[in-house]
Amino acid sequence: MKTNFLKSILVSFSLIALASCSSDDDGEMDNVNPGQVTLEFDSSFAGNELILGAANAANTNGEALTVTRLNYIVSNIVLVDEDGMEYAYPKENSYFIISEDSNDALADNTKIILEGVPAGEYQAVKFGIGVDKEKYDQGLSGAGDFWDAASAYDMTWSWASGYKYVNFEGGYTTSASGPVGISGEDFKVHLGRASDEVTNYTETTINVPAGSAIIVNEDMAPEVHIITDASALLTAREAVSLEAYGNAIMGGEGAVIVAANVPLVFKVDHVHNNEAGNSSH
Amino acid sequence: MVVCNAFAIHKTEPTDSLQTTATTKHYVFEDFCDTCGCSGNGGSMGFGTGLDTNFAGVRYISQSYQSRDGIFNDSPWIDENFNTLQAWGRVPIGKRFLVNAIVPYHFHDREFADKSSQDISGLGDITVLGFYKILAKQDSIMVVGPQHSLQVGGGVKMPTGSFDRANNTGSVNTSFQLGTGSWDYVTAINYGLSHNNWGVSAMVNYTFKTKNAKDYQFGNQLNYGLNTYKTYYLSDNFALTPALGVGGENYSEDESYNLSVLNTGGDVFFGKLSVEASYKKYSLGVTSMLPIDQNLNNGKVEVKNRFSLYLNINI
Repeated sequence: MKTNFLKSILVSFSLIALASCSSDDDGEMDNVNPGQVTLEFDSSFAGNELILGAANAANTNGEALTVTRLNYIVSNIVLVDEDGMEYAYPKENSYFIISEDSNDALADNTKIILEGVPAGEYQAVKFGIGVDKEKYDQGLSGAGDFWDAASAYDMTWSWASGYKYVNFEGGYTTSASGPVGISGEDFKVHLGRASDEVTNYTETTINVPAGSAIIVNEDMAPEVHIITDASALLTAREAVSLEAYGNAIMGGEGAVIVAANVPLVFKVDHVHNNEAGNSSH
Repeated sequence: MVVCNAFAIHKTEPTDSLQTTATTKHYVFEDFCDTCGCSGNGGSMGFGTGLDTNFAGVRYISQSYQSRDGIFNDSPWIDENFNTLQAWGRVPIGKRFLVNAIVPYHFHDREFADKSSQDISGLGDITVLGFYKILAKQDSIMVVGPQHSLQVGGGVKMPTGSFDRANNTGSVNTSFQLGTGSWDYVTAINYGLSHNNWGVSAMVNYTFKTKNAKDYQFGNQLNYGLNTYKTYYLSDNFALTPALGVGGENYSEDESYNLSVLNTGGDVFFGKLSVEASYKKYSLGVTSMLPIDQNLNNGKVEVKNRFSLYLNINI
């Protein structure tokens, strides 16, 4: 008891010391009592659970998709607190592959665990979808293991072409032209860099629900449940028809439309502010 | 929580000397519902607030819910069963005061969509309530006409049932707990009106819930009920009292670490049917409640039904 008391005094002093030593002018936070934050990506299709291999209701283009793969790169994660202060997760560790793939050889990745996040109450999560120009410009030597990991998930082209930010595949049918319409065509949507000018890299900022917060400290292990709406990739801002692009959107105008849809694909459904060591169901 | 409506019994004993009057033994059981296992918030309990009768008894309550296991529009519904066995009783203190106590034991279970299941059991939150009789039945045997009774009271629900945050992460139904984990405070009003073999009872109570040691605070709870009943005397010792009523519950949002918890709170309105058989000092009752209208936990939790069975001895 006594040692605990002394310890807490000591901790308090060191907190004061830390706070007074560091400058807040740079807008960065002091990393005290850091905790862990888990971002969990749950895929949906227009509100329903995304089930690989199962047909979904037709979208606004009259195309009914059956998704077999939804892989994407989440990068440059930033947490924003109630005062608008931002904590940027160390860039060198801030590239992740989220995947739901019907290829059983590839384990699904739906969680990102951020370690050493400064204590605080965060209100929003900001992240990129894909790989930014700075990282790309570092070349293969700057890619580290991430290139190999991305490659394993079919998230790369050749090095010069770079990464696939989103690899969205499956089949679809359309009733637009009646029973003789397209039936069971495969589709591929591969989003990536077109040029230095058209990077197609986008960032999104998603707020936690009103009244909620991501509570971070050494005793907590919050989980942020993010819904990724696969249907929104083709419809969120501007509807893009698979048929119109010959069942494959790999670049060009189609990719630019998809890139504009991407930031609207994500939202925070809820936050579980769990105690550390107490994971949810 | 359950019920939260009043089950009432009215008993009239003819006397030989005065055929036109009667002594009235009148008691009302008002089921008071707590927050564990009840609608949005957890188990149930009840207290007898008999207007004139002191009793001790046991009651079994089952509550059947379904809730969404998941966050999607098409997430599956899972069944949750809340069971409570409780000892309850009431003793008078002086002429004007009554003390009610309830000691619940809960055993709840549910099966998730992935076929894994969970059950919890143990002591629930013990509740002790005191009532002051503003109006009580008259002691005189010369009573004629309608009888009114009115009681106001309050008390405390103690954190004797365990609260485990981990229970709250498996489903949107935050009431899958043995207790709120907090000291909660109750205020209540009961009213009864009886005339001949007929009676009406009404009750309202409100529970103020506080933050528990795990920084979780269940939403405050309003319960209300209205019942009407008639007693049929089948012999000198045996009477049957069917009752028909409505009742409702209204919950405020829960808070966790001082932040509101999504998909909590809401309201439910029940229809209720019950029958009590009394033989000498014993009362055996059965009650069924079905929801008429509900919006609990943002529509993600639904009450399917509630049922209770009790045996009391009047003392």
